[in-house]
Amino acid sequence: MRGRLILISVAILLAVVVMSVIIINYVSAGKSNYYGEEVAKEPPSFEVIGGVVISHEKFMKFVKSKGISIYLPTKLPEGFSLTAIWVRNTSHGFEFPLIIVYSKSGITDYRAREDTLGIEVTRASPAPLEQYVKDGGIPVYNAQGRLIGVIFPDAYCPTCITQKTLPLAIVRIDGLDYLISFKDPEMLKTIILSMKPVTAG
Amino acid sequence: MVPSRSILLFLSLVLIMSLYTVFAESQQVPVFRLRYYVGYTFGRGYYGISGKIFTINPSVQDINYIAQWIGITTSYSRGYWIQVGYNKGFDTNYKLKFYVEKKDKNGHSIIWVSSATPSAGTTYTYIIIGGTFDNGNGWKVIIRHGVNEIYSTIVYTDPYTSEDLQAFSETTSDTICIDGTHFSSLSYYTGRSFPLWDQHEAHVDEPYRIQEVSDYEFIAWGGGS
Repeated sequence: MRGRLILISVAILLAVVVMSVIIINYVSAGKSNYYGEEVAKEPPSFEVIGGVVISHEKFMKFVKSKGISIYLPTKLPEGFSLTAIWVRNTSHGFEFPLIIVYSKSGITDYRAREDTLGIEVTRASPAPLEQYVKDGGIPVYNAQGRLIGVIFPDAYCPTCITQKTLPLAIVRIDGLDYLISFKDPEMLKTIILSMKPVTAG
Repeated sequence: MVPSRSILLFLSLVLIMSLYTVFAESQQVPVFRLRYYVGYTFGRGYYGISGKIFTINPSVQDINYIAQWIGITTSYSRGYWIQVGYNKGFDTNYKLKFYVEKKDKNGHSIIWVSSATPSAGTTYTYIIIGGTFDNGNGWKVIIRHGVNEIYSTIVYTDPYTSEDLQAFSETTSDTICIDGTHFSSLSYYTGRSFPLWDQHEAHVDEPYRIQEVSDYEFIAWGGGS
């Protein structure tokens, strides 16, 4: 009888200790949003500073007004279709960046997330693409063997819903940089290699 | 027989705890932090920004902070940016501190400057200059008091892009009074010089107020209990 009581007591004690550790870890994890590294200053979001969704027609006018060629994928992940085109609306008209969103389920959010394909178009950076390769990016070459972009499979993703990272491709074509976010790095490469110019007509 | 019952009891408890853990993790959602902004965006991406910010020293309590900063957004869709400014709040033990902060593909990092401390009532010049520092994706970040450079560092970002320049007062509670806020000489870097901003978009969240003095200068106030 005494032995049984001791064993039950030990079992309960062990359980309490393990549960306490779990609770402490959980509470700490929750607090880290307030007190830990995750707390960050944060610039205003895109929509706060004028990000708006525009029609395909307005998008084409924007492309024409800027005298540029925008390249978009001709191959998309299965079931994905264009759901939104975001642009910055300023007092002097539409401005870069353009953010083009594709999804399976009508999601129009411009933020990179696990369930969309997002393409952010901005003016090309002065940083050479080779620099990104040096920084660990997987190079992407076109059919002529020219370096046109890189893929970072584990890029930090503060806008994601459940994951901390999401593959990011940086592609440079005709003076523009394309920051492309999609969950599958292999599909991302297929998307990049299928990009073709959208003509302004 | 007795030990097996105890083991059964223990295993049951472990199972309950595991289920609890799964439940707890599934309920764990990011904490939404309210933010109030007052300030300007430039509306074009350039590889450098500078601006003067007068240092105010409001009362900040609880899990709040005030930060006044200039910065460059490197990607809106990814939530990547770099900024420099001063901060006061729970994260600085309610003392004024300079900081340099960024988010990029490598994650979030912040440098709390320990070699210099902002002094209330003083105007400092904050500068971020892009260029080919070492690796071609570096930003030189400088804090000056008058002509004296009191801090500088180089921060690298991937991607190395610029979508917008910004200058903001940011608070996490409208109980923080920002009276005295003054940003001036906001400039963009052309690669050779720092012309003053010749355009801007103002943004202000209630209950704060802004006076747009010019494209490159604003005054803000409001908040507090």
